[in-house]
Amino acid sequence: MNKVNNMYYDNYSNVNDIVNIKNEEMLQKDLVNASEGFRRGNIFPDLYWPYKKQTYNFVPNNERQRLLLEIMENSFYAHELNLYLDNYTTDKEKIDLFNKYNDKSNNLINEYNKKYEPIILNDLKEVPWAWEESPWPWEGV
Amino acid sequence: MWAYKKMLQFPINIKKKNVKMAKNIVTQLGGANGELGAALRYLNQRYSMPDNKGKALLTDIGTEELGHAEMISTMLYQLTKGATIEEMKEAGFDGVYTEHGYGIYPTDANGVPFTAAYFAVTGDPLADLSEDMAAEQKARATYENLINLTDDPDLLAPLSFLRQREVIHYQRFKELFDEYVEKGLQ
Repeated sequence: MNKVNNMYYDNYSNVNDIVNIKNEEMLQKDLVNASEGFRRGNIFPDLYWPYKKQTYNFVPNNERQRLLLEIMENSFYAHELNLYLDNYTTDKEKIDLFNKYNDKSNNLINEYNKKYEPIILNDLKEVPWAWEESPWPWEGV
Repeated sequence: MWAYKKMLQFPINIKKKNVKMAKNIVTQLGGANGELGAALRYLNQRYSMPDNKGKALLTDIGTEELGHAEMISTMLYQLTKGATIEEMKEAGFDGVYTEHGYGIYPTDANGVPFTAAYFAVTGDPLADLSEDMAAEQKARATYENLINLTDDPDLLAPLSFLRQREVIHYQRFKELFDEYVEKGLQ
């Protein structure tokens, strides 16, 4: 595993929330866990090809950013499995894993939609129209 | 059809304005090996893939590339936001400012506008997938050049992430290519 040699969000404070490795995920021997996979941009250790041996750590500085990061990590994990399954369509274990992470990601998105602002156009009942009431992704996380 | 998620695939929060780097990074939006070209390449090639596997893979990777175009545009937006005319001139970005103001426009690092001539659709799955594999490697090499040009971790993190995605996409295209060769599919 590469040494984390750079803080990405240097205004963030608590690194332990993210680098904590969840034991359940480690049971999947051929994959890294969701947080590590997301930081690498690659959840498959045998395909990992780093440049200048760098990965970057980032830690949210509030609950909203923490939840958003968790959504990104879980969506990414599901997406990686999606691409893998496009080629290996009979890998039952990975199909189950895809569903697990996809469900988790969807649940977290719904939670975020309720608590903060909409990521998807779902259940938007407020006036004025909530889709416009929050910053756009390019305006910062 | 597509549905938009109001989030980036990977967080981008650039704190240091850097018009010079914007001038370089723009090629990954509108250059020959950029993300916009990648998205259009795969999303146009998918119709002539010989089986559902190829249609699925090109659809899903093409869709991810749209998200990458958004990430590159986000970097450009944040790198140039609030830049003064003096800073634009200093970075040699005054030509871009003349044409586009503070807008985001797909060109390469030398200001050449994006064109569909950057990608091919031959209708032949092996020819198309070979191009896709090469495109991923060229984009990876371009990301490495960009990584060599900066020491800002706010840029290095998303650039490294995007570079690694090229590695995975190359692998998936190669697996499909090898399978088609083995099956004698064309």
